Amino acid sequence: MMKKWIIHILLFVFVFSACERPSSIVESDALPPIYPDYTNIVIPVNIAPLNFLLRDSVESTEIVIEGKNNSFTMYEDEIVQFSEKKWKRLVTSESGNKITIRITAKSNGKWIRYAPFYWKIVPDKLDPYLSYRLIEPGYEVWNKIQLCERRIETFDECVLADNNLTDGSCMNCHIYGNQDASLSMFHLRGKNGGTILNRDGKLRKINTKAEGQISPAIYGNFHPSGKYAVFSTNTIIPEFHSLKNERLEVYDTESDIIIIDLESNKVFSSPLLSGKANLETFPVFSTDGAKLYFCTAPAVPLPDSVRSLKYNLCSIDFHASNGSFGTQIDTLFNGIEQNKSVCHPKTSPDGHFLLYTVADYGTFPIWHQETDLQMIDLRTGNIDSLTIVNSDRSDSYHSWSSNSRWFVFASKRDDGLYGKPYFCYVDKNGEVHKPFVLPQRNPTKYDNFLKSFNIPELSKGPVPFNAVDIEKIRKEQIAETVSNR
Amino acid sequence: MYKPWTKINGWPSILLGLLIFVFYYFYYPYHLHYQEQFQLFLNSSEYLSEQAGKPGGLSEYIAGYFIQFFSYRWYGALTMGVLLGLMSSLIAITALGFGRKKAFELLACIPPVLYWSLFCDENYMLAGLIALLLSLLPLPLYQKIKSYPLRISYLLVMLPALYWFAGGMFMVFGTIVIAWEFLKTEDTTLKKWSVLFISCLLFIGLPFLAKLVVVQYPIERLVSGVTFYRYPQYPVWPVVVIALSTVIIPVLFFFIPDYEKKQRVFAVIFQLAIIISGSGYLISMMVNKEKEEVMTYDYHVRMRNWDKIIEMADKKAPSSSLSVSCLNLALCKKGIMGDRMFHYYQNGLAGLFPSFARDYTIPFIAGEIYYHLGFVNTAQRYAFEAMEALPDYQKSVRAIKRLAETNIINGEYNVARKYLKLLQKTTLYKHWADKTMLYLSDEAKIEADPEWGTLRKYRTKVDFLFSEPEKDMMLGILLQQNPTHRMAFEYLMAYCLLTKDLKHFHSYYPLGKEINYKSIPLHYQEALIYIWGLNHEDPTKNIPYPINDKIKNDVRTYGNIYTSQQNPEPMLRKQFSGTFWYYLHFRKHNKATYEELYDVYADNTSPVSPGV
Repeated sequence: MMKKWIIHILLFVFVFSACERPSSIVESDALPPIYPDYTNIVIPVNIAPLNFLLRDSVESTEIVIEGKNNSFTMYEDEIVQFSEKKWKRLVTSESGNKITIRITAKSNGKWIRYAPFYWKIVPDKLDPYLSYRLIEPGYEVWNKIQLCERRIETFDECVLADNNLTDGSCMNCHIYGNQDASLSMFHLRGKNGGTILNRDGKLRKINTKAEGQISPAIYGNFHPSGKYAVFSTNTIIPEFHSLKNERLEVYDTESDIIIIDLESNKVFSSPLLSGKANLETFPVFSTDGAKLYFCTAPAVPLPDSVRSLKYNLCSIDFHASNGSFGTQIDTLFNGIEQNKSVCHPKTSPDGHFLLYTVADYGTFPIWHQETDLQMIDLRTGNIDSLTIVNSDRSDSYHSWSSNSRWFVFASKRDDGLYGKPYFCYVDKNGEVHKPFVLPQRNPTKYDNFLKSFNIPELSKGPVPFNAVDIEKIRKEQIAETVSNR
Repeated sequence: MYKPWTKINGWPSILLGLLIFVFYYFYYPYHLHYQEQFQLFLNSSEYLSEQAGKPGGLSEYIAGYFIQFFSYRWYGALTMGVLLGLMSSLIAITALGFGRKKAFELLACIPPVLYWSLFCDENYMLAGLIALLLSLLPLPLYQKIKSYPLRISYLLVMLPALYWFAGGMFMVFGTIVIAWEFLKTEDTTLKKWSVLFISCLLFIGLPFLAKLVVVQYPIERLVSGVTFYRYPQYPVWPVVVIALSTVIIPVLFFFIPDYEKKQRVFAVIFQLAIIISGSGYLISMMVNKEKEEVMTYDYHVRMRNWDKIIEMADKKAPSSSLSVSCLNLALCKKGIMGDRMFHYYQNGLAGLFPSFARDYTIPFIAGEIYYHLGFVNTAQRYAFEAMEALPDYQKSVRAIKRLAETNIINGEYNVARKYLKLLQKTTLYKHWADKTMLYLSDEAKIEADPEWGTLRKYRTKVDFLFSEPEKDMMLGILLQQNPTHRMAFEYLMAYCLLTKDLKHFHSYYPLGKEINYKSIPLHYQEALIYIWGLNHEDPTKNIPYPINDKIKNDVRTYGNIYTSQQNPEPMLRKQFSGTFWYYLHFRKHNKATYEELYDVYADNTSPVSPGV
C-alpha cells in the first residue's frame, strides 16, 4: 500500500515538474535565445518540424503557437520537439499564413516572456531531397566521408556512399542534372575510382582523364539535355595560413575547362577555355544550355601572389547540336575591377538568376571567412548583394530548388568552421528572405556534430542507388575511358 | 544457486592478474596512457546509442569506458590485470563444464597470456578482449541448463545478442556450445545436429542480416564486428588464434585424463614451466621499449612534466628523433636548451621539428612543439590531422582539448565552445572544460592566463604560408615581431646549430639581444668562438663576445687534440661529446662540408682549420 502511494506521488511530481506552468512572469523585449535561429523566417509548407532548443540554462518552456486555423500550446524543457503529425497539420492548415510563436521560459528560477516571432509558411515547396557530403572540416587528411541524402520533409537520412566501403578513398560531392535524381554524379577517387554517373539508376564508372588533360574531372555540371557534362580540370595545391582566423588556402596552379560527351565518351574544349595564360574553373551551363558560365583569372605566380588571384565571372556560347563554342567571352562580373574573386556560379532553373560566391581572392571560398553570396538578375543585369542572406562567415556552395523559389547553401555562420545547410526563400519579385538551417530531430545535433555538410544539393526525388551499389561498382566495374574528340 | 566460481581454483587467475598488474604498473605503463588519448568517451545516451548501433559496438563502448581512466597508472594496470585474470577464470569455469581436471587447471592461463603478449603492441584494442569476455560469460549458464528446448531458446537469444554486443567473437560461444552438445549431452543425434545447424546458420547469416541494417560497413567488417586492431582493414590472425585457443582448451578437458596427486604435482610444475618460459619469451618478443620510450616522453610533454623529461634523459639519453624532440622542448621550456642540448644525443633537425606525417602520433608530438612556440595555427592543424588520421575513426580527447585551446587563443570562441561542450561530457576532462568555459569571450582573463596569454603574444601578427623547409624563416618572423620571444630565438639558434649552418647562426644571433641573457648560453659561446676561430689564429683573443674562461680553455684543448691526432674522435668523445664542436665534426646528421663551413665567412681570404 505504502509502495503504491510513493509511486503515485512520484508520478505526480514527475508529470507536473515536466509540465511546469509559468507564474510571476517578467516581460522581455528580446527574442528568445533559441538555437537554431528560427525567428522571423519564411518556411516552405513541406519542411520537417523546426525543433529548437533554448540556451541560457532554461529549465522549462511554454510555447504558444498561434495561427489562423490552428493554435496550440506546448510545455517542454529546454529542448522543443514537435510531433511530426502535429507539425504536418500545422503547416498544411496554415499554408500561406503567418503564425506567431510566443515563448515563455524559466531560467534560473525566473519566468521570462520573450518577444514573439513569426513563421511565414509559403506554399512554394522546397525540393524534398537534399544530398550532401559529411566530412570533417580538416586540412589534408580525411577520415570518414559519407555522401548522404536527407528527406527534408522528415528526418530520414540514408547513406549514398561511404568510404568505409571504398577502402577509405576520398569522394567528392554529389551533383544532379536539372535537380533530377535520375541523373547525378560524383567523383570517387583512389584505386578503382572514377566518376560515378547515375542515369535512371544505372551506374557507370568513368575515368575522366583524357590524354593531355591536367587532371581527371573536378568541378562539374550537367548540360540540361543530359548529353554533356562540363568540368574543370585543375592542379590543386593546399597551403596553410599562419595568421589567426585564417586556416587553409587552396589554389590552382593550372586549370582548364573540358566538356565530356557522355554518350560517346569524347572530350573537347575550346582554346578560349584552356591554356596557361588563364585559370578557368567552376563551369556551369545556363538553364537553356546555350551558354556556359565559368570563372577565370589571369595566372599569377603562386603562392606568392595568391592574394592578387581574382576570378572574373564570364560566359561563352555553347551549341549543343554540334558541341561547339562561341568565339567570344563575355564578362558578367569583373573580379579584378571589383577587387573580388568569383566562384561557383549557378543559374536558377527558371533562368532568371545567377547565384555565385564572392571572396576577397582565390578559388576556395569555403575557407574564406569573408565569402558571401551574390545574385545577378540575368534579365536586368542587376546585382543583389543578398545582405539578409549573408553572414560574417563563409556562405557558399549553393544549389537551387527546381521551382527557383528556394536555394540551399552551406554556411559557417555558427562557428566559422562547421558548415551547415541553410535554406533561403526567393519570392516571386526576386526578393530574398532570412535563411534558416536544416532542422534536425534533436536540435542539439549541431552542437555535438563534428562534421561539415558539404555541397548541399536539392533534388526532386530520391536517388536510385545506395552505398552498397557504390561498393559493388567500385569493386566490380572497370572504369570506362574517355578520349579527345 | 549455481556458483561456478566457487568450484575452480582461483589462484592461477589471481596470480596471472597480479603479474600483469606489476608488468603494466612498473614496466609498461605508458602503453596504457597512450591508449587513453585516442578516444573521446562521452557520458551521454547519444554516444552509447551511436557506439552500440553496430555489431561489436557494445564491446567497444565498454572498452572505451575502461580506457578513459588509463591516464591513471594504477587504474590501467589494474584493469588489464583484472580483465585478463577474469578471462582465465571464465575459461577455467567453462572447462569445468567439460570435466574437472585438477592437474591441468593452469591451461586456462594460456589464452590470456597470449592476449597479454598481443597487447604489448599498442594497436591491439582492448575491445577484442571485452568481446571475448562477453562471449564467455553466458557459457556456464548454458552448461547448467538441462532442458533441451530451454537450451535451444537460450542459444537462439544469445547468439544474435552476442553478435551485436561482441561481433565475430560470438562464434567462441557458439563453437563451445556445439562441442558441449556433442560431448556432454545425451540427447539424440538429431538434436545435436540441430544445434550445429542453427549455430552455423547464425554464424553465416547474422553478418549478412546486419548488412541490411548498417549498410555502410563492408561485409568483412561485419563478420569481425569489433575493431580488434587499430587498422580495421588488417587481418587479425593472432586474435583468431587466441579465440581458437579459448575454444580448444576447455574442450580438451573432456579428453585429457586427470592425474593422481603425485603425478599432478609434476604436471602442474611442467605446465608452470612451459607457461612461464613461453610467456616470458612471447612478452619479450612483443615488448617494444623504443616505443615505450617515445610514449613516455610524449606523455610527459603532454602533462608538461619538463623536469621528469630531463631527469629521464639524464638516466638514458634518448635516440629516436621523436624522443629527442620532446627532450629539446623540455630543455627549452626550462631555459637550458642553449646550455645543455648537446649534452644529449642530437639527431639533426628531426630531433627539433619532426616532419609532418599523415599519422596519429607524430603530429601530436610535433604539434606540441609548434604550440609552445606560438605557431598556434600549425599546432591546431597538427591536432586536427592527428585525429583525422586515426584509422579506427575514433575522435581523440587530446586533440579536442588542444583544438579548444588553439581556438581560445585565436579568439574563435564558438568553435572552442563546441569542443568544450564535448569535453564537459567526459569524466576526466569535465572539470577542465567547466573551468575553461569561463574564459570564452573574456579577453582579459585569456590575456592574464600564463600560457594562453603568452601564446597570444607569441603568435604571428602578419600572415605567411607555412613552409616545411623554411622553419628558420618562420621562427625569424615570430622573433622579429616579438624580440623577447626566447623560445623562438633558442629554436632558431638550435635550428642553425643542428643543421651546422654557422652562417645563419652568426647572422641570426644578434636577434636575441633583447632576450637579456645573464650570460651567453654555453653552446652559443662554443659556436661563436668556433666561428671566430675560422679567421683568427687564436680564437680566444680579441673575441667580441663574453666567452667564459672554461670554454676558452676547452676550445684550445679541443683544437689541439683535433689537429694533433690522426683519429681524434675517441679522445674528443671522452672529453667533449657534450659540446657543439663534437656534434659539428662527428655527428653524421646534416654534416656540412668544409666548404660550406667556410662559406660562413665568404669574404675571408684564407680558411683556417675548423678546429680552431
